[in-house]
Amino acid sequence: MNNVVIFWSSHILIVLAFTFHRMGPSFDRSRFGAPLSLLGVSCLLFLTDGLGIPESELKLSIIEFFFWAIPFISGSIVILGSAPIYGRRNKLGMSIGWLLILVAWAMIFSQSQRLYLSDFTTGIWISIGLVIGLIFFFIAISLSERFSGIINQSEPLSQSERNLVETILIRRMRGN
Amino acid sequence: MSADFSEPIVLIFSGIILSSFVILFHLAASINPYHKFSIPVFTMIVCGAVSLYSVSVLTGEPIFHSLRSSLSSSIEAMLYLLRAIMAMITVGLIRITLLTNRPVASSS
Repeated sequence: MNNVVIFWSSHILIVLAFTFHRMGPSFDRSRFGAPLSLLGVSCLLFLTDGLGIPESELKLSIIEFFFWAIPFISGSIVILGSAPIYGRRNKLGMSIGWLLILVAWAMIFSQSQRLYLSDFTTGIWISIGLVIGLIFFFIAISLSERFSGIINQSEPLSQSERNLVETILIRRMRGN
Repeated sequence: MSADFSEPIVLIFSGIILSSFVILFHLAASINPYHKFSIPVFTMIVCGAVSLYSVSVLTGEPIFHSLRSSLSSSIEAMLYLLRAIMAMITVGLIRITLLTNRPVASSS
């Protein structure tokens, strides 16, 4: 039972880490995103031995996912950095990137005993459910925005703020 | 989960449970003074609870086990579906690789 609690707590940590990270630098908590994510993944992989039926299959899928996702993401980044989109083509980088992509596909085909069309169909049904959930969320957000009026009018700019804005505008308009 | 006509419905409810789970924790983690979160939180709790109850009734399993199995199957299916997305990204990468440095023509 303890392992099950650790397993699901790790998932919650990963969701919290993602949310913290995407809040951006204006919130202090954004700096905890990466460490929390690392903690969540570490707990998920190393502290959850001897899980029961629903969780053990999911853990296996997550491990398989890491096996192909890490070379695939690395390869994609290398290819995008080496492709002739903005600069010159880097042939060595492209070769390394494609090698990593091939490794990722080889990993997937080595797990081919788990490649079934019915699994894709399952994924599509669950995606429909996810979309329905998101639709409810967006409706709730729009209702929330509609029911809340303007709280108060913002204060006018102070003299120092005016000077700052004026300076920025003058600099921009002069082009320096 | 039984392999009858109710299986797609159970899967759709599982997807709703997963989205409610993620959105609720997202709302809790991103709370700030400018956040109007009461209606979204209430909506997602209701969505999650109704879906969870429906899955429990359809599968005949207890609520806690239904929650675990729904979340497990949803995450597992999403990880599986990522392989199809990976195939699409690979096609995009092939196109990028075959790009050449052509001069950009003036549009007007």
